[in-house]
Amino acid sequence: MSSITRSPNQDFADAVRAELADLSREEIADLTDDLEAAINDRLAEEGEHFNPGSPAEYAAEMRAAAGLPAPKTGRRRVTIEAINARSVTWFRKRQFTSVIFDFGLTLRPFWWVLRAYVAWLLFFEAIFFGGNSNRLLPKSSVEWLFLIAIMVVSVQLGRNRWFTSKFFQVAVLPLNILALVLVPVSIGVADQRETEITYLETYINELPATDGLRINGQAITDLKVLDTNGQLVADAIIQDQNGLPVIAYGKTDPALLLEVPDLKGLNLNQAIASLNRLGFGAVDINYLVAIDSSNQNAAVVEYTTPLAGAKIAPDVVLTLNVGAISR
Amino acid sequence: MDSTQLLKGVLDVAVLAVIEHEDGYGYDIVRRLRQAGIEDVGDASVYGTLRRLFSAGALTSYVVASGDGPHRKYYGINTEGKQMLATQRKSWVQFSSIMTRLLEPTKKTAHRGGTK
Repeated sequence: MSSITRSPNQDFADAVRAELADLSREEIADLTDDLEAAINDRLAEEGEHFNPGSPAEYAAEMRAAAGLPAPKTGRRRVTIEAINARSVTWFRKRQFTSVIFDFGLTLRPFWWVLRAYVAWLLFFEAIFFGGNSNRLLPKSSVEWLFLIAIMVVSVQLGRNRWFTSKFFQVAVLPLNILALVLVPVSIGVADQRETEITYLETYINELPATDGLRINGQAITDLKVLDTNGQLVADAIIQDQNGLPVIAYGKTDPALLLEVPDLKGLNLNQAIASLNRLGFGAVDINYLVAIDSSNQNAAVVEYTTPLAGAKIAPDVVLTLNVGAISR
Repeated sequence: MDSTQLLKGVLDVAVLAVIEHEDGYGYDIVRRLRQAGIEDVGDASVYGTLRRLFSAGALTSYVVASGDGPHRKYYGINTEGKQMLATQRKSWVQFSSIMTRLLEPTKKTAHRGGTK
């Protein structure tokens, strides 16, 4: 069964192939086609005592037995394969680094997904939306498909199933390094998006719930209707396409305004009961003369502020100006 | 004497001999050699030898897919390989008997000592 992660055996086989990189592809294939299988066989037989040794020595032995020339001496060409091979050899030299290497191998699938996400995020940031995509996750099914497609490609590339040509194999290391460098950038971008989203949510939540006309975000606090002579039309009503009143910001729909009743002569209790019944929310009392608190019935409304007949919003404070009943 | 040095010269014929009657894949051939007593043989040497014998036209090769594992490249001996094996077997028999005679000093030394 093929494993999702690459085994140390595969890395060893790749390291051996890297040591043979100066040979033709056919020669390398002839020598190492079923090297993984052979190493697996040895591993199965030798168990924990299995030690394939150094990939360089293994390759040299193979090359000599095959009658193939030793690699040209002098400065060795620095290839991606050689870097990979040397890194693997270095990690495998010591128990401690070998454990770290195996741990890293286990995390490879996570990395394949992460690098795809980084590519997706930065692609949208950089290309589609000029550096401000306002997204941490896809916003549409097409974008989800795009992200999933990138992830599938990344995983298949990681599993050596797709893009196995030399070109991609060579390109994958620099791309991985680039993605690794871009991870902190992505975290920065993600953090910034998170802050923006939080800010917008807070801003929206803090917007007053009152209806009111706004133009370009600015509250329109007054509306005036003038006739053709430029005279103010009092009590004009402006309606929208649905017949609903258009009101200035902070103003109350005229239909909701309450007319202040004439309360003159009513005692305090009667006046307050009446106002409550009519829906006035805020009532204040202003004593014009000193009233004995034990005799509230002696207090009568002289007049209201605003005066009777005025129209006010239900939340506007109506003041009852109270005098003493004339005896 | 280091037997791995001796083996270098005869690994070709040893490999041909173990697949003379039955095809085998790389590690299987290593196993047969070890079972035959050549315990120090390195698998890398065997794979290299197989590749060289194949290039020389002494072997046939085919891949057998495995249901639950990696595919295996099998090697079999062909007519040319059999001729090569026969020639090398003859050479080895001659060479080894010479070497055996050469390296059996006790009788000769005693005989020579007796004539003096």
